[in-house]
Amino acid sequence: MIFEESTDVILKVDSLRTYYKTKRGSVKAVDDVSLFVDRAKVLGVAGESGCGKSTLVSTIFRVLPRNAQVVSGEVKFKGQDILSMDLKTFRKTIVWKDIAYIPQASMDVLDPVYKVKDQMMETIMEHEDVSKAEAMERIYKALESVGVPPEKADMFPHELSGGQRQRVVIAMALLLNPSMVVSDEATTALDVITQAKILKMMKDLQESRKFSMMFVTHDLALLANISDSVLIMYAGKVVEFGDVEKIFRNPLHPYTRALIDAIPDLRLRKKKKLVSVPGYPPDLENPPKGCRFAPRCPIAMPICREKEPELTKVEGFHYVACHAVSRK
Amino acid sequence: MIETQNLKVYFKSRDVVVKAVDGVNIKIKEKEIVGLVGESGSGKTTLGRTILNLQRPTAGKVLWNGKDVSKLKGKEEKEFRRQNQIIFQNPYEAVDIRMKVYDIIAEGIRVHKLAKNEKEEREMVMNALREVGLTPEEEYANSLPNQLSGGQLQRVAIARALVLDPSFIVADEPVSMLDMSIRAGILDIFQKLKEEKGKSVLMITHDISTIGYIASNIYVMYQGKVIESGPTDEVLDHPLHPYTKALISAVPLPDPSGRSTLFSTEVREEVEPYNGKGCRYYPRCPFAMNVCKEKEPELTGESNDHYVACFLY
Repeated sequence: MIFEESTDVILKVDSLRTYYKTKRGSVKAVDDVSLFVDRAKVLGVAGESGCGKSTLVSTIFRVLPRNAQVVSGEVKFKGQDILSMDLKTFRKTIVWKDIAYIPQASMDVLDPVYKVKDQMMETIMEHEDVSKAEAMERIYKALESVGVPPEKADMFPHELSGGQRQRVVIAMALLLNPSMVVSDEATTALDVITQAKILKMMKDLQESRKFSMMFVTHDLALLANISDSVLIMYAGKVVEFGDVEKIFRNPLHPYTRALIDAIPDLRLRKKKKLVSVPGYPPDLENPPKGCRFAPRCPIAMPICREKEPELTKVEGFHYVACHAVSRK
Repeated sequence: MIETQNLKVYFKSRDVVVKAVDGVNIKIKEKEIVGLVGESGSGKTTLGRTILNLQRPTAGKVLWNGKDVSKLKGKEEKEFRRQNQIIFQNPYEAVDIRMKVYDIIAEGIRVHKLAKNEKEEREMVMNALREVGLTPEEEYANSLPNQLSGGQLQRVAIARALVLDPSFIVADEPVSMLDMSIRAGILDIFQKLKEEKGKSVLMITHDISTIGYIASNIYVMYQGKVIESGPTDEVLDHPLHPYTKALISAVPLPDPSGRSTLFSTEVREEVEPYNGKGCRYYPRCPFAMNVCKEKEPELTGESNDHYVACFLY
């Protein structure tokens, strides 16, 4: 799919399909997903658990489990097709160096038996030819930029608080000055105040160092605060994609609207009731015919159960896959 | 109905004493949802467990309809256990994954011998499943936990508590593991329990925004102490303590034009460790004064049942 709104693209995902093989068939976790991220911009990706957002991230970093397979489509990073590239070259020259990853559970990436500085050292040494002293200098600078006192470099991950660990992981991701960062639920497990502080820090760093970011979360409210564009996924499909202002001011897909109505907003708590999206996401081994959201959709029409809606442009940078919208 | 009086729970680990709950007075009336808000390590979970007599207090007491819960024995203790239930944050850890949903829910009925025969037991289980919105209930009753999503399993955990017809439920972060999109559905169950069945709920959470929709009273805890409390509207519309203000401003708003508010959260990085005598929040408080380092502020009434422990007031 071609997006005219993309002016200075860094990452482009085109008609990507990633399926998991199972005994009974295949789970269509990512099913015809197209998107783009421009240079120095932030794309927010939102959807419920099981919508395929993590599979999308794993596909980009080529860390899919064995039973997963990219069935079709391509991922281009700076014009290079990174899915067909030699895996060793990809890991050596692109991952961490040019596109870095910030995961949710910081304990999973930080090895508990290594000190913070030793792990960061390894990341640098693995990719660049620098002296240890030079690397150490960079480690202290990186920690400073995320607000972690330098003495923490000598500590083990379990000696740090959850917020500090997440900061260390962010520092590691930025260590080699990547031009893009992918964050997968990076702030989800944190307390609200810590989350707000870390988000602010990530946004400040993104703006000052001008890297691109793909920010994946189930919490749509966060995206209003940090992203330039927003992509909503449902059951492996993109249902809406567009400029952040358009998505929040004029959500068109009934699923996007439902997600927004489910966000608690203290300012409106007396006027607006919280509404949950009725039902549960479909089984991706046997997705429903037609639109995958139809069984839960409050405005489903007969055509929605027959034909799958395509992602179509509405106006400006705003795409939606819904029969009810294209009818108008 | 449930009340704590100067409740203290200390944990000793080698020479360090951790004051998880340090002199807390809270009250939950009948037909009331009370919110207990605080960050990880504030002692909110310990408080919830102590209220249910799952943890012995170091000092002070928990009163259940006027009786000290730690002194309950025999029949009375069993009745207390039936009438007061808990729902945990992670439903995957809270239920036995080898058991069918039916047996998970029926276990309590069997322990408390609440059903005369199998037919009655079956009816009770099915009713509970319907009540939490798991229909068709027959189908859910026969499934295993790993066939359910997190939201569905949390509903099972709620059904397990409800089947015993408790009068009071402690819900410890019941929605924080769940997707935003299904949280409202779970909160609705609690709302209905209060309104239609007259149950009381203590909702423990780190997220002040969800509690605003369902609680009538809020207690804000910080490091073992209640630092602010009052009717929900008072606390949310006129927060007094700098920590409560920070908690409220840190809630992200679904509005791109509100970006500046999220990023204005006024909390300092902890520059010095707590000195052991002042207000526990002073190391992070942007308004800390000299007195804050010297003396701990007491919880005092401001207006309309609104209490705050802060020298600014």
